[in-house]
Formats: sequence, structure tokens, C-alpha cells
Amino acid sequence: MREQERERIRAVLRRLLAELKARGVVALEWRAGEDWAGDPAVWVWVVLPADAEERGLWAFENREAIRAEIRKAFLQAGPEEPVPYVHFRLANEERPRPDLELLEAA
Amino acid sequence: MSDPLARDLLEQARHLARREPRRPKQASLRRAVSAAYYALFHLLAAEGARLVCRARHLQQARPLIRRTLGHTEAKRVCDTIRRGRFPDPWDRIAPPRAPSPALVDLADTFLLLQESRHAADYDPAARFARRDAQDLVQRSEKAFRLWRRLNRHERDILLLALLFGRQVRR
Repeated sequence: MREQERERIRAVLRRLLAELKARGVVALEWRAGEDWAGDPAVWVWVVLPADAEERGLWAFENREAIRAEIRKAFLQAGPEEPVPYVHFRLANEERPRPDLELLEAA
Repeated sequence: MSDPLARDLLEQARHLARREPRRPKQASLRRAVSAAYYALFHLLAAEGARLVCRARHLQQARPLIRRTLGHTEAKRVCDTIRRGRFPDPWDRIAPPRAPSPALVDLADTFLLLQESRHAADYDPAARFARRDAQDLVQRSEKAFRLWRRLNRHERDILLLALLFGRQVRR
């Protein structure tokens, strides 16, 4: 994936991060590449605070709402834009991969 | 009533995602993710076979028809739906509107589970946390619920597109 495309994805995620703060999101981690079928793909890990369960932020409904917002943002970004595969983790959990780019909420 | 194999796979996924309460084994979590995907895959395959082989004298052909569902074509179909369109050439007989939010959500879930299953089964570098595996199992459970809520026209178009893909010529 070219740097220009990566920058476009980064810009979408930065905008999203600002909107998703209201849902408790503290950071987004992402990477781009090819999926199992060889199609361009983006993976996003949504990072919620360590106490997300106690605060109700880990609730399935909240995760689903976050997923829907991410999907919508990428579909609005362009008809052929890869739609991310969205996963979740808590801030105090191990990063799932070492090659993720981190975007933190301001 | 959903397919027994699909139902059992979903139950197995739930079970595996809860195993080893203190230190879950990667093997358990990976198999949970894989089972969560295959539960949905088999649900759709079974429903497709039921649609095509409705007549009593065709019921024995259902296992054969189930096997026509392939991962690559299913990905193409679900990605098109996720983008708010019915796949070609089935768009011509689909409802005259964009796919419903429930159908889009189901297609999106299928794609997420499919990609995750691939990582779980083939990528030794992937690490699954219990929370992640449980989230994917919940997504599969939600897809089962969404399936029951879809209107019949959308369900049938989805199944025909999944089973026959682009083999049907205009």
C-alpha cells in the first residue's frame, strides 16, 4: 500500500478517534495490508480504558455502535475504500501485534 | 429452527472461548474463533440448500447443495452487500432499495469472522485475547439473530447469490 493511501486511512481514523472519544475510546491501532484473499485490507484495534467493564464501555452495544461508526466513516470516504476489520482490546492488555500504528486521543 | 451443525458449532465456540478461566490456551481461543465463523457459514449453507431443495424428492440433495457455498464467492457477495448494494446479477431481482441495515450488519459480521478465522487457523504470529475471541463469538450469535429478522426476499437473494454467485449469466 502506498504512503498516500496510508495517509488517507490515517486521516479517516484521526477524525473517527475524535468522534469516538464520547464512546470511551482512548486510542486506535491499525495496520494495512492484504487480507486472506489478497484484497487490500485495514485492521483496526479499538482501545478502551482498562476499567471499561466497570464503566459499561465494554458492553456489546457500545462495541457494536463503535463498529458501525467506523464502517460508516470508511464507506463515506470512498466506494472502493477497504472497510476495516474491527477488533477491541483494553488499554492494559497486550498489543495483539508489534506492527500496529498507534493513534491516541488528545 | 437453525441447522443442528450450525447451532452446535456456535455452542462449541462459546464453550471454547470460556475454557481455562485463568490462562486460556491459544489453541482454545483459535478454535473458538474458527467455530464462530463456521457456525455462521453452515447456517447460510444449510438455509441455501433448504431454499433450493424444498421439494420432498430433492431433500437428499441438500448435502450436495450445501457444498456449493465457497469462501471466496461468499466474501465477494458479503463485501458488495456491506457497501450497500446487492451483488450482480442478483441485484436485478432484489428488493428495489438498498440492503437493509440488518443485512449489511450480517454481511459485515461474516467478513470479520471469515478474516479472523483465517488468522486463527493459519497465522502462527496472531495472538488472540479471550476478550477478542468472546467478542467474535458474540458477533456470530448476533448474526444468527439478524438472520431470523431479515425479510424473506432479502434472505432468498442472499442465499442465491452465495450459492450460485456469478455463475448465472444474464
